[in-house]
Amino acid sequence: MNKSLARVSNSDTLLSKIKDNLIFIIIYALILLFILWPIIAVVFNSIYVDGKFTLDAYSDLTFKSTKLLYNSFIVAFSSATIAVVISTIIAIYVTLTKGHLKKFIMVILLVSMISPPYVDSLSFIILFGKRGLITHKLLGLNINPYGFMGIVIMETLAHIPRATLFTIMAMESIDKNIIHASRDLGSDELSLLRSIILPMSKHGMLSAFFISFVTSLSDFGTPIVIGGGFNVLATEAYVNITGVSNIPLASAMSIYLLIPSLVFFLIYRKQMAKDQVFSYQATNLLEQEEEDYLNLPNGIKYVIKLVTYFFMLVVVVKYLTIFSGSFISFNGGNVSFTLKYFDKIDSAKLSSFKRSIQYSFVSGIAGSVIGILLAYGINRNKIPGKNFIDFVATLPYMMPGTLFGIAYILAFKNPPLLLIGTSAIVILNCIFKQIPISSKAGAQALSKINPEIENAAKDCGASNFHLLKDIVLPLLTPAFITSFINIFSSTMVTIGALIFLVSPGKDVATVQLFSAIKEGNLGVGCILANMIILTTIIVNLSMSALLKGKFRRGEADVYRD
Amino acid sequence: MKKFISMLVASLMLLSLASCSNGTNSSSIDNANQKKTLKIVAAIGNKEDIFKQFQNDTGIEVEFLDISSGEVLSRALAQKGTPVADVWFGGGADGFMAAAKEDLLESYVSEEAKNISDKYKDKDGYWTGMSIVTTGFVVNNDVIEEKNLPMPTKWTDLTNPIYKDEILMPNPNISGTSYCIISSLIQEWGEEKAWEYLEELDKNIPYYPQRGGEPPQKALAGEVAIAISPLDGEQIAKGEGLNVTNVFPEDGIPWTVAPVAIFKGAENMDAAKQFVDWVLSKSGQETIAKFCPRIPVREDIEIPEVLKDVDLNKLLDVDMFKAGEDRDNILGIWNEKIAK
Repeated sequence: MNKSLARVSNSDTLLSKIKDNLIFIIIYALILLFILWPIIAVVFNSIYVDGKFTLDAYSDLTFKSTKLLYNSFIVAFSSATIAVVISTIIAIYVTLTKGHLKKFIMVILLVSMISPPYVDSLSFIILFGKRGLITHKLLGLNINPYGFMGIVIMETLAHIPRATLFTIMAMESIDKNIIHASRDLGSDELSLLRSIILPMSKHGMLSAFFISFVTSLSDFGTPIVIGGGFNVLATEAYVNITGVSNIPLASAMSIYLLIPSLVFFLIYRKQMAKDQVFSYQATNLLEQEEEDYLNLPNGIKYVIKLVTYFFMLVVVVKYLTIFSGSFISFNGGNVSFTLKYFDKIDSAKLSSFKRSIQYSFVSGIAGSVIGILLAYGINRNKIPGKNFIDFVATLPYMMPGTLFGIAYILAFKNPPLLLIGTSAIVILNCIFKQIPISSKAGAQALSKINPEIENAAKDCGASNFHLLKDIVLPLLTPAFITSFINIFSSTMVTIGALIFLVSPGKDVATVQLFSAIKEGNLGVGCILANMIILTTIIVNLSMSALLKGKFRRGEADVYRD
Repeated sequence: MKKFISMLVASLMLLSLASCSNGTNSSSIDNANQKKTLKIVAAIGNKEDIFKQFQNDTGIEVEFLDISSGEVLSRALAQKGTPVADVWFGGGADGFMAAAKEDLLESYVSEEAKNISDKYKDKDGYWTGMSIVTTGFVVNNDVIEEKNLPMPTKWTDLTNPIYKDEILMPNPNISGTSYCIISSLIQEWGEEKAWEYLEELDKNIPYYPQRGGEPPQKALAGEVAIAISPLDGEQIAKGEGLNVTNVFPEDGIPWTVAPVAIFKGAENMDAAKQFVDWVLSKSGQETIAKFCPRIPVREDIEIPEVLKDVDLNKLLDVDMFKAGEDRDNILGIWNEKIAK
C-alpha cells in the first residue's frame, strides 16, 4: 500500500476532473445561485413569518386551493395536448409535404410567438366577446366566450408556435437515410409516418408538451382576462401578491402548483432517456429534397392543409386586430379611425422600449449559451446530481412569474448578494426565467446527435472545452437560433416578474403597455404591442439569418475538407 | 471556417458578458445621478402631467413607475429595509394603512395638512389623503335599452332580479373600492341589513372579477349593463363619446381617499417632503384636480367641472379607519357567505 502515491494520483484525477469540467461546474453553480437560491428564499419566507417558524400558509391551502389546482391541471393538460396535436400537423405540413406558403408559415410562426401580454386576450374579446365584432356584429350571436373554453383556446393558440418549432426541429433532424431505407424495404407512406417519423419526433413533441404544460400551469394573465368566473391556482397566487400582499400564502400556492409539474417532469425525463435514435449525419438537413416529401393519402393531406391554414388564418386575424388597434377605436363595438393614440407615445415610453430591447438581447444570448451548455452537461456529461440540476433549471417555468420576481427580491436584498435596484437583477431574472426553453431546445437537438462524434473527438484528445467549442456548439447552432428567438421574444413580452424588479424611471415596454391597458387605453397598448412585435421580428430574423449563414458556410467547409 | 464559428460563439459570449456588466455599470452611474431625482411609485391617472407641473414649480425632477398599490405593498414587504422609492403616490388607502402598520413608511406631517380634515389622514402622519375617490355605477345605455331594463339610481335598485347577470363588481379581496363599498354599507345600514343586501345583490352578479378595472371596462364595451366602480373624473373621461351613464347612487356614495406617503429610509428625504407639501398645497391640489379630477380633500379648492353635479351631502359619513380595522373580519364573512 503506497498511501502517498495513491493520494497523489487521486487528487490528480480529481483536480483534472474539475479542470476538465470547470465550465459545467460554473454553469451548475449559476443555476443553483440564480434559480434554486431565490426559490429557497421564497420557501423560507413562507414558513418563517415574523421571525417565527409556522406552517400557517400551508395549512391555508384548503379545499379551495385543491379545486383550483384541479382547474389548473385540466386547463394545462387540455391546452398542451391540443397544442401538440395541432403543432405536429403543422410541422408535418412544413417539413414533410409538398405545399405552398411554407416560408410564409414559418414567418407567421415566428410572429405568433411574440404575444404581448393582455393585448392578445383583449383582441380576442374585441373579436369574439359578448359584443365582439365577429360574433356579435357580424354573426349576430350573443355568446359568452369567458371561462374554461376561452382560456383553453387562448392558451392553445399561445403554445402552438413554440410547440411547432420544437416539432419541426425534431422532424428536420431525422436522418433522411432512414426514410429512404424504409421506403426501399417496401414501407408505404402512411406507415412511414406512423412508425418512423412520429416515433422519431417523439422527443420534440414531448419537449413541446412539457413546456406548454408547465407554461400553462403558471400562467395567470390569460385566466385573469378571459377566465370570467373560472379561476386557476396561478391566478389565485397572483392576486395574493398583487391584491392582498400575502406573500407567504402565494408562495405556498406556487409550491403546491409544482406538484403536477414535478410529476410530468419525471415522466418527461424517463421518456427522454429511452428510445434514443441517432442520426449519423453530423449536420441537420435544413433544406428538404423533393424526394423526401411524404406522399400521404388525399384525405389526410387535406386535413393537414385545413388545420394548418386555419391556424394561419386565426393568427393573421389576431395580429391584424392588434395592428389596426393602433389607429382604430373599437370602443363599445363602434369602429372609428383615429390618430390620437400616437400623441401619447412620449420619450418615457420610447426609452422603456429601448431598455426592453437591450435586456432581451442580452438575455437571448446569455440564456441560450448557458442553456445549451447546461443541456450538454446534463445529457452527455456524467456529473453526479445532474437530474437534480435539470429539475432545478426547469423550475422558473413552473412558477408564476410574479413569484419569481418576489423570489429575486428576497434572495438578492442583502449583501453580499445585494442586487435590488440595479439593471443586473432585471437581466439575470430574464435570463434564468427562460433557461428551461434553451436547455430543452438543446436537449432536444442533442438527442439527435450521435455521441460517437464526440467520442471520436475525445479519442483524438480533445478537451471538454474544445469539444464544446469546435463540435457541440457548431452542431447545435439550430438549437441556439431557436432558443435565442424564444428567449428574445419571451423577454420582450414578459411582465409578471419585472414589475417587482424595475426601478422608477427604468421600466420596460411591457410595464408601460400594462399601465396603458389599466387606464383603459387599448389604442396606446396596441401601438406599444406593435412596436414590440415589429422589433422582435426584425431582431429574430436578422439573428437567425446571421447564424444560419455562418452555419451553412461552416457546413460546406466540413464537406470540402 | 471552424475557427470562424468558434470565434463567433466566443465573441457572442463575451458580448453578452460585456452587456451584462455594462448594464450594472450604467445603473450604478445612474444611481449616483439620481440623488437629485425624486423617485415615485404611483397609481393615478395622467401622472406625467402632474409631475411635469411639480417639476415646473420646484425644479425637482421626477422618475416614476406605474404600479398598483397591492404590488407596491408586496414589493415593500419583500425588500424590507430597502425603500421601493422615495414617494408613494395614489392607490388604495388599505395598502397605505397596512404599510404603516408594517413600519414601511416615514411619518411626516406637512404644514399643509392642517387644511385637511382628520377624516382623510393618518393621525400619526404616515400618510395623508390627497383626493377623495367616489364610487358608483357605470351603466351602458345601449344594453339597458336593448334589454329593456330600468336605469338604476340607488344601491337598493341593484337587487332587482331583472338585472340578473348584468352587474359586475370586483372581488373585495383584491379591490379597495369593492371593500370600501361593502364596509361603508355595513357602517351605514348596520351589519344585518347590509349582509342581507349583499346576499341579494350576489344573485345578480355572475362572478367577482380579480381585476378592479374589469367591471367598468366590460360595461363600457357593452358586455354587461352595470359596473360597480370607482367613479372619478378619470373614469368619467373613459366613457366620453360612448352611450354611458355615470350614476352616483341616491342612497349614499361610498368613498375612500387616495393617499400620498414617504417611504421609510427614502434616499431623497428632503425632495420627498417637498413633494408631499406641494401635493397638499393649494396649487398642487389644483393641478391634481385638473389632471385627475376628484373631490378635493381641501375645502378651499373648487370641485372639478365633471363632478359638479355630485351631491356632496350624499357622501356617506363613514370612518375609514374603522373600515381598515375591520377589514380581515369583514372579508372573512364575505368569503364565507358570498365568495364563489
